[in-house]
Amino acid sequence: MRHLFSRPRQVIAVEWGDGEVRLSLPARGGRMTATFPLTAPPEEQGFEVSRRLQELMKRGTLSAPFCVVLPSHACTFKLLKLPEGNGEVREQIWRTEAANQLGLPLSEIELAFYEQPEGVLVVAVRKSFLHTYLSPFIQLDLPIRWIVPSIIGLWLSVQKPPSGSWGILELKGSRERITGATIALGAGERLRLVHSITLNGNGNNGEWLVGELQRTLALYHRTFGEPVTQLFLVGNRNLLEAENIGTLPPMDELPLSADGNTVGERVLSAIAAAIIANPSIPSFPPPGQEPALVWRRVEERLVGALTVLAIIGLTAGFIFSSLVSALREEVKSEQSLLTGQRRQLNQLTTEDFGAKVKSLEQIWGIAANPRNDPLELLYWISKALPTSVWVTELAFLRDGQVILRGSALSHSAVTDAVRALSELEIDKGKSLFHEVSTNYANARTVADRTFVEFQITAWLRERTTQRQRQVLRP
Amino acid sequence: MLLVTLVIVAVFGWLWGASALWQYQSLKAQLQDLREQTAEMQKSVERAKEQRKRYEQLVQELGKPLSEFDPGRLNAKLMEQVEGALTQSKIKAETVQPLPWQINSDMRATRLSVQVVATTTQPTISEGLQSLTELLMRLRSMRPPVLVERLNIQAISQPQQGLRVQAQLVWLIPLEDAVLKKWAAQTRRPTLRR
Repeated sequence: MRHLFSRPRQVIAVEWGDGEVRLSLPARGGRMTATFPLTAPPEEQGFEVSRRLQELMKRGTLSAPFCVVLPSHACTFKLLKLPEGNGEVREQIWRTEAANQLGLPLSEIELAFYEQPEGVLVVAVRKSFLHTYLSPFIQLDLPIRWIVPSIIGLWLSVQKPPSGSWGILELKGSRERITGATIALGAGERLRLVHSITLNGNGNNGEWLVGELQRTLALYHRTFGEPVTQLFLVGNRNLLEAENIGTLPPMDELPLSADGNTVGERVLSAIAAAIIANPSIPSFPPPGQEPALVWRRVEERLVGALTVLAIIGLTAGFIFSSLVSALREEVKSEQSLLTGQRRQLNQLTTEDFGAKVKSLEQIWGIAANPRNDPLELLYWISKALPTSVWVTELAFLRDGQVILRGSALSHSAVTDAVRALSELEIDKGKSLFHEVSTNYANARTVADRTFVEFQITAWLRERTTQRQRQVLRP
Repeated sequence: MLLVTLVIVAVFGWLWGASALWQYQSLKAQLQDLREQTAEMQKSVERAKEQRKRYEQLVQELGKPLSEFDPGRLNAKLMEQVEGALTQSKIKAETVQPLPWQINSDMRATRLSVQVVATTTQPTISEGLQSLTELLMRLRSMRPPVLVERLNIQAISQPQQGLRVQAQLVWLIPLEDAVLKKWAAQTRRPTLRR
């Protein structure tokens, strides 16, 4: 349905038969036309057409929607005068009436309807012909959107039709002989009568064809009450030469202002232009894809997709399996490393070095502490005390108490000694003694010489005894 | 047939791939976990090695923990060592009295101590002080070191000028756990005394 609402920008028109396949393709700045001769026997020409189209497909020139132009002489036309209706009912009536009047079973024909002011022009074509004609396109899965009889396309391509009764005579055939003719008659834009004449076994019989045309023109005159005054010819005029051609209305070539080297190519270009201008042109329904073909396409895609999936899966499986085996090796080596470390740790910790080191550190802390070493103490004290002081007794007690007893020349010497001991520093500004105090400093004169007897107590650690209990003079 | 074969191959491939991916992720997580464990274990091993090294250093300084504890023999050895040091320092020992020994379970060591009363034999105080310094250095350099817990130095003039030294010397000797357990079981007392 999409094409009913959208105007196509490009259309490819194609027609085959009479030993040729003709194409009108969109090209840059206009249209490109081509005619390929078909050299194969008639029953194999479908394959040749398919091959030609395949070659063009590979070049990427067949991307636009397709209009397949049917030879008009393969169709049957009938103007039905029917009451107006609407929707699906109307089309059903048309179909029933067409079947009745054409005398053909609906199962064997395909119908197209063309509404005209005076009725509905029914176009019928045998399904078997249509199937054969379209098979090259269907096999290649080409996007067919329109299937139009050439006479209808030609009628619609005439942009300024005469106001009176006029007609188009389309001649089909090779250079040597005519195979069929179709005449479309009407007034203005109204198409009233289309008659296709197939010359089966009557080839080159121009007189018989002219007679048929005369009868058609007379039928038109009788039916619509006015004679046809102008005929336009499409095709090789020479095929029509006969003695009584003068009895037909004046005939001119149909002016086809379209691209193309031959009449057939110009007809295709004109029909393509008409479709671009009027996309709702009457058309046989485009063929649905054959289930087998659809299944084949689906199968092809499935095979492609599954192949890709299988390759991806197998590749991923292979890659991950390789990674897994590499990782397994790594895990094994890591596990053995860990086991080795555990064993080593067990060996190291069986003897409980942590607790042993802790207890040994405690012992070493006591042994290596300079404050517990009287040798260090003697060194520092001897360094600090002034020369005016004599120490006669030194006591180094367990709780860090150091008692100095002795004599000094003066009280100030004792004070100097206390100050020196207080300011004694070891280990970067750390005082050796926590506290230094003088217990007593008493002057005593012996043989005219006065001495000051003193006792100084110093604490290497914070004192643990009460101040009242500090060591007094013995 | 081709389609069915392809479906089977694709399903097999994807199942294989998915299984391998799952295994890969699982192994990766396991490897990560193992690496973390290894790193932790390496740290523990390093710590243990450091402790062992430190232990060996301390053993060099303090002596190896005793696996057999004989207090009588140890006391005799301490007295012998002290007397030897006094003699070497030319200090005359008046008294070398052993004191009760103790086992300190916190320090995992035994504490042996002796009380010493001695006098210097040098004619001057200065020389006496030198001898005393030598004595203290000798005690400090013993293995395990002999600690001076109490020290009293007094200048004396009788019977000759010199220094009288009273000291309490202590030996802290590390003990093996087995010894500690054995003695704890024997006595059931927090402090073991002779």
